[in-house]
Amino acid sequence: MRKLWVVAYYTAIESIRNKVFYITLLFALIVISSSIVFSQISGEVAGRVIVDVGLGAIELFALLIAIFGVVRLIIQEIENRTISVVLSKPIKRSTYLLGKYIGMSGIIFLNILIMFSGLVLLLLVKGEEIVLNSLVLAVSFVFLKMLLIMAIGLFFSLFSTSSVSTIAVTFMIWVLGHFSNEIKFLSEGMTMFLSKFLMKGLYYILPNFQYFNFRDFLECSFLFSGINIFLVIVYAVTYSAILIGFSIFLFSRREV
Amino acid sequence: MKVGFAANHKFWFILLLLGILVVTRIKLEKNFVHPFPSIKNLNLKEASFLNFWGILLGFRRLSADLAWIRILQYYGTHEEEENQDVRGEHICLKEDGYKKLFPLFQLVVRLDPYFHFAYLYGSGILAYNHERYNEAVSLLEEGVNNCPKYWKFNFYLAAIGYKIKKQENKVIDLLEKVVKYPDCPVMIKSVLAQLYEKKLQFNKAKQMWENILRTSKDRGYKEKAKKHLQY
Amino acid sequence: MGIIRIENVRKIYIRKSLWNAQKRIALENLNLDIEEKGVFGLLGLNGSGKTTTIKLLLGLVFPDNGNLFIFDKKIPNLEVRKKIGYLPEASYFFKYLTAKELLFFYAELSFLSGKDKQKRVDYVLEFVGLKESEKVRLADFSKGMLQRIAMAQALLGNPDLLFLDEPTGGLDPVGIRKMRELILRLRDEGKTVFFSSHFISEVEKVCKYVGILHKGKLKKTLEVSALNGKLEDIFIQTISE
Repeated sequence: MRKLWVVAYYTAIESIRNKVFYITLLFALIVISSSIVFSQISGEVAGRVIVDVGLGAIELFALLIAIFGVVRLIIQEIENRTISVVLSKPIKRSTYLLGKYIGMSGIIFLNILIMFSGLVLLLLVKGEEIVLNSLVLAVSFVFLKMLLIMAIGLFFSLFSTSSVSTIAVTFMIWVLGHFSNEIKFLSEGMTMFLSKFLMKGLYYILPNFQYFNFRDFLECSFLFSGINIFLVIVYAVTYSAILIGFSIFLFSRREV
Repeated sequence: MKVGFAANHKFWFILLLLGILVVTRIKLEKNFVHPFPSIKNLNLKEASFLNFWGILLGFRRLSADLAWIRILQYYGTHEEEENQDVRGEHICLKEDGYKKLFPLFQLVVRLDPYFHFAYLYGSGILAYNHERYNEAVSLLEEGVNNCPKYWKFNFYLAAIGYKIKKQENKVIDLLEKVVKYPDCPVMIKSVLAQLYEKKLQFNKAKQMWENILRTSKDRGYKEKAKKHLQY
Repeated sequence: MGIIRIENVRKIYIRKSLWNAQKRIALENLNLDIEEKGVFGLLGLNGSGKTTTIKLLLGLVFPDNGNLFIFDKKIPNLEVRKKIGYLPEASYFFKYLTAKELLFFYAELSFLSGKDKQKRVDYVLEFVGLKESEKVRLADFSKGMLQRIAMAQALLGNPDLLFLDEPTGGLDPVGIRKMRELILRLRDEGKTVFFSSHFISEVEKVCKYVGILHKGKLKKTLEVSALNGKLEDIFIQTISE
């Protein structure tokens, strides 16, 4: 158990010291601040625009760090051969993988926290109304989204041999996951049994990222019920856990 | 490593998780009603490529914001100020007579059906600045359909109804109700102030303009309020 | 007690591409039994399977056939790994960590805790002569320093058995000499060193036993003291058979 945290801690340190981390964060904060420009030309809904641009930027930058980070997590260590020394130590491969995932999640959490603080600060400075409850809910679900997309990326990174294809596939799943309701509508309009069946299957199997999209549902308070929030959290956690389980299985057979 | 995966307690653990996942997914399917209609049923006439991607990637609100900014650019709030005569009658300067206003507002509220302010502002512009009552009413009706719990739409609808019948006192009554709420567009406040002026109730008009000066963030309307207060 | 036992091990590498799969036999029918403490050298040309043998023993790659044992326990085994150290062929480490942080990380993974950890890290840093560079990030290390930090991490768990993959590769003459002294010192401390090399003279100077590996097969196992300095002739003769 202690080793899990040790691996997580050092993974986080490694990431934080990488210059890319600061550059991305700086760039993200610039983009969030740029929402002021948009708010200047949006008349009376300036506050809403700042929130939307800010939360959107938080999600996209977190996504960038998550996808590129998670691909680096194991594959790059195999390519750099740093992993062979680590695995010659008395540590289980599953512990190592899980520790890396937790460390990376910590980094994403820190990133989102900093970006979100920036956004709240901006709203305060501009004197806009802050509905903290729904903002925190929205940004927490962005984090949940990231946990899931990282598990997906990790799983595919152990499947394939190239980082580029892993990044492409993970990003595609992110897009399809947001597209899932359109897939559902599409399938309902279909008459051919086979294609309808395939579409429905795709709809149920793909991770439905719209469940986490509270960023877009800020005004839809009817969705903010305790049971919904609970279900979405369980959904994200079990989905990620299963993928991490498969990743551990793949990793245990991986030759390094 | 040679131990079969199935012979292992980990296998059963994963199976248990899968079970939980399936149950959760089914529950979510019932409980979690996706609040937006499909692209197919949106009927977006003025949608841009960016709006389309916004929907696909789950950025509906941001898409609506962009479309909103597009309206403001098209309508030009500040330029409007210079094109008004003293009584505040709006003079159409755009060659197309702002024909695109209605489809553009439709785009905004179809991208984000919960964008209350867009219905209010849009219908206000259409009804009071351009006297295009049908369009204003159909925009508000879309709002009533999409957000049944947002009861203020009905006041705005009724006010337009009285405006059509030229019963301006009743319009004033209704608008006096809606301007009390913080989500009332400054545009409506300015309509009310001008109605007061028309009815020669200068004291109330003065209060309204002062209210605008105090609460609004829109520079155009602030300037307008200052001008009216001087007058 | 057996130290290392390899039974009928075969290892095939398969390189898959979209259209075909290329097979390469890395090790074939490998048998090896080391029961005595001391220095064992695995001698062979590049690509003869030396690194594969060490990786198999560490559980980094898996045999297609046969079994491997260290201290009479079947590989892979977590307990065994507490007692072994590994110096990889080329040293790659997490470049954003400092030398000390890296060693602390490995120390944690090696079950060292608290005071032990601090003491042991200081000891190995001293041992390889990197005490004054402990706060330097590995990105700024020279190749020789990296090799030394690699040695430091191998010694961290005070292992009974050390795997050194080409320990003298890339070192200058002074470095080679230091490495040789180090191996002999470890031997005198009662440890077993299993190392691979293609430098015959090195093997001859430090090893008690030597195995000659060629094209994935263990051709011969010899006691060095009985050869009277003719290892080179025997090696050449063996691989050209």
